Amino acid sequence: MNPRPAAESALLAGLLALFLCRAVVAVAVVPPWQGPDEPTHFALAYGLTMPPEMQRPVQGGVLQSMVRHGWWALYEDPPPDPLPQSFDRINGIGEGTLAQPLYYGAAAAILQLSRPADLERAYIHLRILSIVLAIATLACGWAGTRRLLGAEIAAGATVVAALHPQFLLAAISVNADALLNLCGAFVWWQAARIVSGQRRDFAMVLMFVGAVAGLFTKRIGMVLIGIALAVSVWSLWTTRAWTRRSASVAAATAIAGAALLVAAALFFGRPDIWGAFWLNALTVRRPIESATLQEGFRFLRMTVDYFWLIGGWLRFQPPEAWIWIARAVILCGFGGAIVVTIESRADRRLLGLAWLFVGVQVAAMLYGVFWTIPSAPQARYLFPVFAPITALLYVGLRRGSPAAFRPYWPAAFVLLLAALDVTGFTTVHIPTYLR
Amino acid sequence: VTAPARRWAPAWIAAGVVFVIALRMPGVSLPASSAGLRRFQIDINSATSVSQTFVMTADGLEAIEVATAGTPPTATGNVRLELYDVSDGASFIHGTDVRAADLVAAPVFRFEFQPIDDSAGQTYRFDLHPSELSPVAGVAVWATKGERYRGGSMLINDRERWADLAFAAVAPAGRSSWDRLRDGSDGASPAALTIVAFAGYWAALGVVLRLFAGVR
Repeated sequence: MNPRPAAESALLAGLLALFLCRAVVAVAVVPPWQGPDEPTHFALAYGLTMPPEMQRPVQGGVLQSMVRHGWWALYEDPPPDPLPQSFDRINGIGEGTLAQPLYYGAAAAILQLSRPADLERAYIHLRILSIVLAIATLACGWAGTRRLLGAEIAAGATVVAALHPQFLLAAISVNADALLNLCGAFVWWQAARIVSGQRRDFAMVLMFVGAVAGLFTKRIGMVLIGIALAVSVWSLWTTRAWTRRSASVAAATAIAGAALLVAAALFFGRPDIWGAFWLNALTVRRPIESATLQEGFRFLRMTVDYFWLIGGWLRFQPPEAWIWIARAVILCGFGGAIVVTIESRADRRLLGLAWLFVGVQVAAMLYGVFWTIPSAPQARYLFPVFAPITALLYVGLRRGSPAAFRPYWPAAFVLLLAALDVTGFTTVHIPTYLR
Repeated sequence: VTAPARRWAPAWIAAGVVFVIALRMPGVSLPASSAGLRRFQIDINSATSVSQTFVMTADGLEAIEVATAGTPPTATGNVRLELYDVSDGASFIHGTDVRAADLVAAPVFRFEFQPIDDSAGQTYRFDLHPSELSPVAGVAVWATKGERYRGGSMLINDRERWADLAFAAVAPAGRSSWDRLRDGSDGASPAALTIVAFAGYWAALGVVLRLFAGVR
């Protein structure tokens, strides 16, 4: 049974309000610069609002702000003395580039409108922008899941998203992830419209617009292009609806995308560097066969452990018991989703779309972490496909609940996630940041 | 408003009260012994020194609070405060001379020192004795009648007594989430806003729980 439309709207409003309240608490507790690579992303965006000669001093201002907010103290390191005036002398903080300009351009435009008095206020304005983008991400994710899998699963998936501690941290971070996550949720929504047959051609164009926006936001956004292509081919293959109109739409979309790429290269000013930047993400840096099974298991364990919550720059973890509960939720959820996909012939095609999103993203993450840009498998790399992940988790967890327990299942589900969230605050963020 | 909704709202408000109480409880119980009603004073003078041992339950021991009182006619001289780690022998951690008048200026005196990073599980001894610099008079500390802290003992002139000093060990882990939220961090956000946002969180969670529970 699905909720009545009025109750459904109220539930969605309640979930968005819940997420907003959590975001306010998180902003109050988590000091600036604790999100991954925030100094780099902020300096690029804030620098665009200034004359070229003033852009580099922004980095010095950011470093001073990091000292003020105890960035080094939290990691039990003394700040550099003397404090440099640019990032190139700080280990672990890059200067970044404008090769993917969409987030920086949008953030700079917002700052031009909001006119912050100083760097600290500019940071707060961009944090608010990230929260707004995250709320839009939740709404797009809900719309896509509802179109594809119905109102109940959409509500359950949005409960997971609205109470997810790591997604909340991504939502209060000043970096390009916030926009990329929105692009991913938008692509999911349009893919659901395509698969369910709602204005298929128009949805396909919008899906590619979202994917190209993702491509111009972060390098990992190129995965969205692959997903969009796969969804298009799959849709045309399964519906056998290849018409002259479809061909025209596909051609127009491809031409528009290519034109955008050329325009971006010209805008960047140095097409050679721009091209090298993108090829760099595809360059294999170690022999494919050198990866071991042991590394694979380690990658899997870290992905699971870091997915629900890890604070700072992969620094602050919850207590062991908390991590075990989160592991159980993730493994039961995905295990149950696999069972449902195998068991239910009716849902297989629809769940297959969610698995396509998740599978392609995980494969890209695996490829990137092992062979091209070695790093830890951070949860945020999965957030461009967060909506299908939450849908699969909800479907799987519901499948795993015993039949006799079903009447209590919705309340138990919400309370379990809320308990994980609140204890995430009380065992990680509050003791770490409010000493 | 339906009958179940009328029952639901008070239940959720009651759950919120329990939630606030839980937020007010510290994550770790630190060594402490409150004076309570059955208590007595011990004068610190040239013939009397007082010590208290305790086992620290968290890292970051940064201070010891002790309940003090002035005695007639007036507080004069200095008191020597010292902290030793006695887990394995007795190693000196910190010591300072405090003016007697400062010691009794408030009901509780806070003996602060450089935070000890790995204090959890260590046994410490806190000493108060007359300073060699200036004889002390007019100063007393409060102690409990009977043993109230089980992790250590009070000693008067190095002899163990069936009593405990009224004291409290201080470390960041001993502060409750509520205290931390109320005090805020680096002033980035007003504490009141945080508390209001938590209240909104609870209200929104109640709405979500109520509406989602109707979904099958």
